[in-house]
Amino acid sequence: MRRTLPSLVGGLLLAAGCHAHQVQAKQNTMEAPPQQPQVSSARPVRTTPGGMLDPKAMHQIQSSLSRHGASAPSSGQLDDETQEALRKFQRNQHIAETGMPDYDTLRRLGLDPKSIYVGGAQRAARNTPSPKREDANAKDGDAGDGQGDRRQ
Amino acid sequence: MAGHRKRWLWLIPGVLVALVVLVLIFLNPIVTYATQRGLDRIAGASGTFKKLSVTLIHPGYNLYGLKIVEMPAKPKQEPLMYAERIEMRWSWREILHGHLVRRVKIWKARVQVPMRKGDESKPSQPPLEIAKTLESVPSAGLERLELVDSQIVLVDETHDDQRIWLHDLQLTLENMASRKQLMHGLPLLVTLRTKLQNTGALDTFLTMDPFDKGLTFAGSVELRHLALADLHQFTTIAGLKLPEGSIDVFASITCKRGVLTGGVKPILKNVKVTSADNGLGNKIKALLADVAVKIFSDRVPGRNAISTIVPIHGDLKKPDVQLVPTVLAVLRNAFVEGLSASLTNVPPPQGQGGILHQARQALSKDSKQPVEAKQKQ
Repeated sequence: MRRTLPSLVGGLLLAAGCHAHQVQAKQNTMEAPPQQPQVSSARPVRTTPGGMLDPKAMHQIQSSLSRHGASAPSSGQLDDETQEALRKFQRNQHIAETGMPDYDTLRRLGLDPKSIYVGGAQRAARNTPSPKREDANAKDGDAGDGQGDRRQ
Repeated sequence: MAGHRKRWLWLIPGVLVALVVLVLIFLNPIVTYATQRGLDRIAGASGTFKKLSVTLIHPGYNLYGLKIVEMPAKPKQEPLMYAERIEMRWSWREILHGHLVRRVKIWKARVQVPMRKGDESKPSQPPLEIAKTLESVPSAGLERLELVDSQIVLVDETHDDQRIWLHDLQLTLENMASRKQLMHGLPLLVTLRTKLQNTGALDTFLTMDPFDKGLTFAGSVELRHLALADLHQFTTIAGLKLPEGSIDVFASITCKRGVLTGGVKPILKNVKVTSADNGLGNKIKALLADVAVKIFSDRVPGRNAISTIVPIHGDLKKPDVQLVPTVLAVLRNAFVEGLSASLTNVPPPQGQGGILHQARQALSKDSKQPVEAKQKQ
């Protein structure tokens, strides 16, 4: 650890230079995570909550948060304000304050996690054209590819 | 005769009440004894707790002041684990359906993970097949595991007890089950929010389908605003100091039936590099690094950021691949290959020992070249 970490930091400084021109061209998108294709399986897996929730599902969460006294903007996105509202709601409920819409949080908001997450992922997959559909696990009901992980 | 029968009928509820009272009286001592016996059986460690209580109507179990200390104990030794309170809850409804579903909540835990040299003589472990392993155990599910206000300390005992400190940790793990039907069509979900060292904010989101045909998961990690000064214990060793600046790291990774892809994007902001001592070599190194930072930063006032994207690619499908070292090897390879050509040593081809040992091996610079971990060039 002693040798690896400083070497990584040093290497990072040097290698980052190779990409500096790209950085300048993408100043506004710098803080977005690397884009990843989504994975299809019977139980849809996504890299971020934003990849599993479509705007309709997010609106449901935001209006439910507002009804429960944790005012959230009606943006249809899992933005910083919505995460803060989720944390406030979780604090009031005495559960772990992760700021993420986990299953227990959704149930406490009076929402069904399956319709929010799986339904959201399926709607997102239907609405987004996918260049390559992965072989689906048809027996279990494939959730499809939600290509383009929307970091919100 | 009829009066005699009536008296017997009264006896039945009386006996039931007496049984319930006896259970309530003796339940706590019996469970306390069983728990202590369980703690005594932990290999290489000793466990104690302050108090325990069991409830029957809402079936549950509360353990207070759990402390696990490594044995043989040393003077001023910190416990491997301390938890102020652990609550476990079962569901009568699921129990009646033949499933054991449990909710676990842990308050104010402190877990210390020592990183040491492993025992190389331990035999290699067979590859883990998650779905088969889950189906081989009785029908049970962990509906939710929750850690509140906790901390994890990674202690590198091979290097002067250097520490990586995760604190204010909030973690949830939901929908882990040994049967498909207990997962209700939803993936296993892990969410984590914690602080890293003094300044970094770390968020993690992970979804996993343990019953897919191969290893299938996806997740992301976001580290924001970690002051480089928080890494002083590591950076000064290389002869350099990073007194100013911060680092953000965004990583996302997907694994579809054993094929791992992803990317890591580190962003350095407002970095200043100085020499850790007055040696000429270190001064030159610091000057070069500082100039490189100035040249390649995006020159946005107040940010001056430099960034790169490091691709991740790996294959976890082959039967002789060891999961933990290979995932870590792929991640480490991505950093190593993407950031510095001089660091090409990567983890061992075979995972030996336990998960911690494998993880430490995978992250060690001194380990050998992996066979299975592939790198996208």
